[in-house]
Amino acid sequence: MWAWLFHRISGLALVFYLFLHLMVLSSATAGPAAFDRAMEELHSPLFLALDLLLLLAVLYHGLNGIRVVLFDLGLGVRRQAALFWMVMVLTALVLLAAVAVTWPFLFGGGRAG
Amino acid sequence: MTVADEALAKPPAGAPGNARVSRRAATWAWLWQRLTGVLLVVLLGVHFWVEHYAQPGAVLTFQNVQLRVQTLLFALIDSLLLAVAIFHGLNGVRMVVLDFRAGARIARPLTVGLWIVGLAALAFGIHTLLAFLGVIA
Repeated sequence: MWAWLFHRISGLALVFYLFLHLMVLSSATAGPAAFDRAMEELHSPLFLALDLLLLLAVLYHGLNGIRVVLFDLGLGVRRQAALFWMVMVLTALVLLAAVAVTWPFLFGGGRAG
Repeated sequence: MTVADEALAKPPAGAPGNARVSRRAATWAWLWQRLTGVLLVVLLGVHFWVEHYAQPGAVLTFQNVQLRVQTLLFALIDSLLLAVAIFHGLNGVRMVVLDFRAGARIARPLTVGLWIVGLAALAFGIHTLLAFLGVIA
C-alpha cells in the first residue's frame, strides 16, 4: 500500500515538474543569453537542493516501477516486501552519492569555473 | 445472484455521463505505461548523467546543449525522451483520475483533454529543441 501510494505521489509530482522543466527550457527560444541566465540562476544552492528532491522522486518512481513490471511478468511476487526494501536502499544509496557530489556547491560556495 | 448484487456489480444503466473504459483500452493503457516506463528508466538515466552529474558543478550553457543536440543521436534521444515522458506522465495522470468514481465518469473527455495537453506540450518542447538547432530565431 505504501509502495503504491509513494509511487502515485512521486508520479504526480514528476508530471508537475515535467511541465515546469519544459517552461524553463523554453527560455532558449528567447536566445542564448536568456537561456544562460536561467541556467545560472538554477545553479544556486536552493535549486541544487531541489534537484536532489527531484532525483529522490525519480529514483523511487523508476526503481519501484521496475519492481511493478517484474510483478507483472510474474517475477518476485512473493518477495514483494523484500523488493520494496531493496528499492528503498538503492534509492538511498544513489541519492547519498548525489548529495556527496552536490555538497561542495550547496555549502561553502564551491562554485565551479 | 440477487437483484441487489447485480446492481452492485454493474454501474446503473443510463447513469449520467457514465462512459466506462473498455477492457481493451485499459489493457493498452497498462501495456504502454509499462513499455514507456522501462524506456524512461534508460533515457532518464542517460539524461541525468549527461546533463547534471558527469561534470559536477558545471553550469549548463546554451552552447553546451546546442553542441550535444546537433548530433543526430542526441537529437533523436531528446525527442524520444520528450514524447515518451509526456505520454507516460499524462497516461499516469489518467490512471490516477480513473481510479476515482467521479473520475471514471468523465473518462472520455479526460482522455481527449489529456491528448490535447500532451500534443501541445510536445509541440512546445520541439519548438525549444528547434531553437537549439538554430532552426528558429
